[in-house]
Amino acid sequence: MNALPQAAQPPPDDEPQGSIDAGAAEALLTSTTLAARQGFETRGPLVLAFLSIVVLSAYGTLWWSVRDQNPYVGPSLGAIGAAYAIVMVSVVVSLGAYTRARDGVRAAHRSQDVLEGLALGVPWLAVFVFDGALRADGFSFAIVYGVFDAAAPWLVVGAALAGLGAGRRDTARLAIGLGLVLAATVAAFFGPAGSWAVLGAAGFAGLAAMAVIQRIRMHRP
Amino acid sequence: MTDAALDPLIHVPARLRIVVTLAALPDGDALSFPRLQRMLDLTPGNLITHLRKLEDAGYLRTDRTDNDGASGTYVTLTPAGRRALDDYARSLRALLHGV
Repeated sequence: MNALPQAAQPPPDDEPQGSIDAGAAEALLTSTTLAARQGFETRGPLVLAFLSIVVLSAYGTLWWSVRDQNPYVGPSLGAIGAAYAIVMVSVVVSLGAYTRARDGVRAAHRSQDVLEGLALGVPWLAVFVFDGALRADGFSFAIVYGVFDAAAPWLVVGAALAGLGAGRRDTARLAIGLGLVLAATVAAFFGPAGSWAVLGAAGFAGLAAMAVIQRIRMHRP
Repeated sequence: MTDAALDPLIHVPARLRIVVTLAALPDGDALSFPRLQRMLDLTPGNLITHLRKLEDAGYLRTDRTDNDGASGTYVTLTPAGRRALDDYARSLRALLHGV
């Protein structure tokens, strides 16, 4: 459907055919591709680098509050509050970057985005509801507020992400999902305090690596 | 191979930039007229003229949205437009590098 308004005075084609040589066309093709890619990117290298610091700070804060506990009772309320504050700042920064990149863009598959958000968000929330059931069943603080709380969110979100990636033949998403599952599994072997430290380090390394890859990708024609 | 092998509709700087910019979006996503204009730094009249030529060729489609708080004209690259850009880029590489 033609929805374009009539131009008051249609300008002449000021760039007639043949006004650009092939070399200039290739340069224009490359520069425009890079500019558009950067303009539409919702998770640019700077955002990913920032998130890597956020994960390290949040998990580091939680690990710091439990590192010498014996018996283990879980992160202090202050540490949990600080971790949530750090996460909230990251949410605001990420949303800002997303809003700028998607300004004026109308998604063709918005309902699919919502469904995928549900597939990732509901299992993540379920982990924390599951906490209550574990405590009611008599599991120790070390299990509930240690190994499980640290590793389970990564495990379920990673599994959901890997499933979504496999369904869409999206190898990058599949790899990230499997990476989350692997990190959570390895971290569980480091005990209730160690699992926070391992996941903080793994999250930092993973996101920093993604930032580097994203930077290279965005500057490669 | 000569310049004549290149799609004359795309082989114009403004139209090349329009098609390449829209191709950077996921398949089927639409871009608002004001955002496209800002990204390309073209006057509205000039942009409309080029969009109309590309739309007449079936390389893109435009539609108006008047609900969901996002009224205005949106532009989408069609599958034919995406194929035409791929062919253009391939022909350009063949012309310049002989591949």
